[in-house]
Amino acid sequence: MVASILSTKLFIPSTPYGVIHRSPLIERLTAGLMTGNLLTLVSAPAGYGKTTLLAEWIAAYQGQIAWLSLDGRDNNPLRFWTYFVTALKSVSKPLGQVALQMLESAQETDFQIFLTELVNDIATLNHPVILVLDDYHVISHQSIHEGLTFLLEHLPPSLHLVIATRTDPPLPLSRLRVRRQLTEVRIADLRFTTDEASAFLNDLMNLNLNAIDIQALETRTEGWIAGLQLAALSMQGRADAHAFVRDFTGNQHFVLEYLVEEVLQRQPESLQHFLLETSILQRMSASLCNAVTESTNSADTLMDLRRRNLFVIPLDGEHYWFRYHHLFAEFLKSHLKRTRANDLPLLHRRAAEWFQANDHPEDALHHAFAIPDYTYVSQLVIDNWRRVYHTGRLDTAVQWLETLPGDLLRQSPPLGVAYCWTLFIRGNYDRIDSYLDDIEQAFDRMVSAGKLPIEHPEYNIILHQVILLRAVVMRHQGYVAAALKEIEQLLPNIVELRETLGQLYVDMGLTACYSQLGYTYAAANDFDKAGDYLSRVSPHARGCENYFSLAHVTMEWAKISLMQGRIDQAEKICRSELSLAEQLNYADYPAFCLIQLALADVLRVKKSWDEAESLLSQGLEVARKSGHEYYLAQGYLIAARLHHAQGEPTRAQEDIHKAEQIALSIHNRFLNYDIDQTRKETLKSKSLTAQPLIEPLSERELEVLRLICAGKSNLEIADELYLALNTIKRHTNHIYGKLGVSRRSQAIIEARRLGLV
Amino acid sequence: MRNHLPYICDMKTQNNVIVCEIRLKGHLGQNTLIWFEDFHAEYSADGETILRGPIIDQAALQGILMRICDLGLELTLFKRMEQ
Repeated sequence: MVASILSTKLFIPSTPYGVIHRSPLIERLTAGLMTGNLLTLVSAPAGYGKTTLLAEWIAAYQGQIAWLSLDGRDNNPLRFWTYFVTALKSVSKPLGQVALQMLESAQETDFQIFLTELVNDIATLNHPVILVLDDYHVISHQSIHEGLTFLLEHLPPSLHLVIATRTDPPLPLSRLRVRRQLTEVRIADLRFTTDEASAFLNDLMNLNLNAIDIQALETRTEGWIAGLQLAALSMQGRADAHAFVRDFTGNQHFVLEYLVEEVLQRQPESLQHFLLETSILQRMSASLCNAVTESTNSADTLMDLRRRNLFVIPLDGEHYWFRYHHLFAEFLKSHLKRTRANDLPLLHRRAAEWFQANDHPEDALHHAFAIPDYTYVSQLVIDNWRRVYHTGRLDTAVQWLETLPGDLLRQSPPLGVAYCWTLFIRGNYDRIDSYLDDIEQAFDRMVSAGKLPIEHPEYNIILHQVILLRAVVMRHQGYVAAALKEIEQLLPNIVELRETLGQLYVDMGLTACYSQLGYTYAAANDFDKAGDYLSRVSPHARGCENYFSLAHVTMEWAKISLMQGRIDQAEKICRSELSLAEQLNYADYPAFCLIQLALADVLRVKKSWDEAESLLSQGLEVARKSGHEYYLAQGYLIAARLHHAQGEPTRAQEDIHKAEQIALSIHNRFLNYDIDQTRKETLKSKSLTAQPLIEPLSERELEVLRLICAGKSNLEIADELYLALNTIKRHTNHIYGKLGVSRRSQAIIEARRLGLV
Repeated sequence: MRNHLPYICDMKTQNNVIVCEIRLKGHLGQNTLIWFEDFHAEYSADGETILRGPIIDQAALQGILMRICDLGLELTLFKRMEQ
C-alpha cells in the first residue's frame, strides 16, 4: 500500500498529462550527452518545468536511468553518498559495494578514498547510465559539493550526471563551461516562447485567444510556465477570456499570488475547500483527504486536479500518494492561515486521527503537535512509543517525549515510565529515581481518586515497570544482589498478566526481565547465568516484536560468549537471529544493524576477515541510513577492533576517534563505556588473534595474564577486575594449562616469549 | 555559510540591528506579506514592493533570502539603510 521512503526517493517521474513538447531543448540535452559532456545542469526557480522537461527527456532515452530525489535530510555526506550509491545500484546491482566499505574509513571532510573506489566501480559499467539528482538546492554541505567536484573531474564516460536545482550549485561550472563539458538549461531556455505559449493556451487548453492577448500574457508572466498554467486555469470556462487578460496585464500584482487567488476563486466552492483544507498535508492520499475534508469523493477530486494540471504531483508509481507543487502549497497554506485560522486545529486533528488509524505514528504526531493538543498528543505517544522504540528508532521516541511539557512526564505514569526507559537506554541513571518517585505518587493519586483507566493496558503495568527500573538503578549503583532479587521476584507477577492482558504483555514483561537479569548477572561476572537468561529472551522478544531489545541482547550474549571463549556459540546466536530477521523483514529496522555488527565482531575473532568486513559494511550502511548516531558509533567501535586485529592500529584509532565524536554529542553513557573498553583493548601492543597457541586464551584470560605479568597478586587482580578470588584462581589454572606451565613465574616467561604481553 | 553579500552589508552598528530595504518584483498581496510581518511594505509606481524593516544578523538575513526564494519572488534590490 504505502511506498517506502526508498522507493519515493528513487521514483522516476513520468510526464504529466498534456505537455508541450520542448523539442529544441530535448535535442540540446541529447546532443550534450552525445558529445560527452560531463554534466547537465537544469537550474531555474520553481515553476519552470524542470522536472517535466527531464521526465520527457528520459522517457525517450534508450539507456539506463537512475533518479535520486533529494530532501533536507540528505544534506549529510554519509547519507548523501549512501543514497547516491543506492541509486546507482538500481541500475547495476553490484556497483558500489566495495566503495561503501571505503566510506567507513573516510575522514570527516575527505572522502577521497571512497570516491576513488566509486569512480573505479563506475568505470566498470559496460553501458551508459544517466543519474539525475533532483532538488540539489537542498544541499549546502561543503563536503558534498567537494565530493561531486572530485567526481566530475574523474568521471568515467559511462556515467552522465544531471542536476536539477533552484539555485546554482557551487561546483566548477565556469570551468566546465569554458571546456564545453556542460549542458546548461536555465530560465531563459525554459521560458515559454510566444509560439509555445500559443500552443499551450490555444491548442492544449482550448482557449481561443488572439495573438495580441497571447503576447500580452507571455509578457506579463515572462514565459513563466506555472504562471501561464494558472492563467489558463483561470480562463477556462470564462465567457470573456479577454477580460481576464485585460485585468491581469493591467495590474502589477505579484504574478503567482494574483493568479493562484484567481484560480482558487473560480473553482467550485467544494474544490476550494478541498484545496485549502488539504494544504496542511505534507502528502495526500484519497483516503486521507476524505478524512480531512469529511467527504467521500477525494479520489475523483485528486484525479480531476491532476487532469487539470492543478499542481498535484504523484509521489509513487501506484499513484497512491501525492503532494502539491511547492509554490501552490505555500500559497494555499497562507490563504488558509489568513482566512480560516480557527479551522486549523480541527483539520490537524482529523489528519492525526487518520494517520494513527492507518499505522503512521510519526505523521500522526506531527499533526497532533500542530494542533496543539497535549492531551491528545499524550495519548498518541502512550499508544505509539513502544512500537517505535521496538524497531530501534530511539531518537524518535525521545523527541516525542521531550517535546511534551516537562511536568507531564511526571504526572502521567505511562509517559513517565516511557521516559525513564529512554533515560536508562542512554545511561542517564541519575535522573530515573526522581521521576519514579513522582510517577508512583501520581499513580497512587489516580488510584485513590478512582481515576485509573484500567481498561488501558499501559496503566496496568506501571508498577511492574517501576520495580524493574528501580532494580536497574540499583544495579548501576552496585547493589547487584538486591537488583537480582527484585527482578526475580517480579517474574511470577509478569506471568500472571496472561489472564488479564494476554500473552503480548507477558512477552513484553519477560523480554524486559530476562534481558535485565542477563545484564545484571553479567555485571556480577556470572556469565553462565547471564547467558542462560539472555538465551530465553528471543522467543518473547519476537512475540511482542521488540526487535530493539532482541538486537541488544544478541549483541550482549555474543560478547559474553566470546569472553567465555565460546566462539562457535557466539556465531550461532548471531546467525540464527540474522536469518530470522530476514524472514520477518525486521531487517528494515535500525536496531537490526547491531546483530550484523555483533556477528562481524565474532568473525573477527575467527579471523574470517572477508565476511567480517562485509557484515561490518552492511551494518554501517543500515546505521547511516537510519540517522541514529548511536548505531553508527557502535559500528565504528567494531570497525576499530577489526582493524586492530588486522594489524592496522592507526586506522583503529581513527575509528575510535569517530565514535568519540559522536559520543560527545549524544550523551549516552553506555556508549562511553563501550568506547573505553574498545580503547583499552586496541591499545594493547599485540592483537588478540596473533596467538601461536593450540588453544588460544580468551579475552578474560589474557586480561588476567597481563596483570600477572605486571606483578599483581591474585587478590589484587580480583580487586581490579571486580571478580571473586576463586574466579581468578580458576582463570590462572586455565592459563597455566594452555601455556603448558605449572608455575606463575613460568607463565610470565612463556607469555613474554610468545609475545602475548 | 559565507557572506555572499558585498561590503555594504557590514553588520556592525550600535544597536546590533540593521534596517534594510528590500525590493521585490510585483505588488505583493496579503498572502505573501504575511511572511514579512516585521517589515513595512509600500508599492512603487514601477510595479515593485518596497519592504523596509529590521534584520538582526546574518542568520536572519539568510532566512529572509531563503523565504524570498521559496515563495518564488524576484529580488531586485537589497540595501542597508543608513541610520
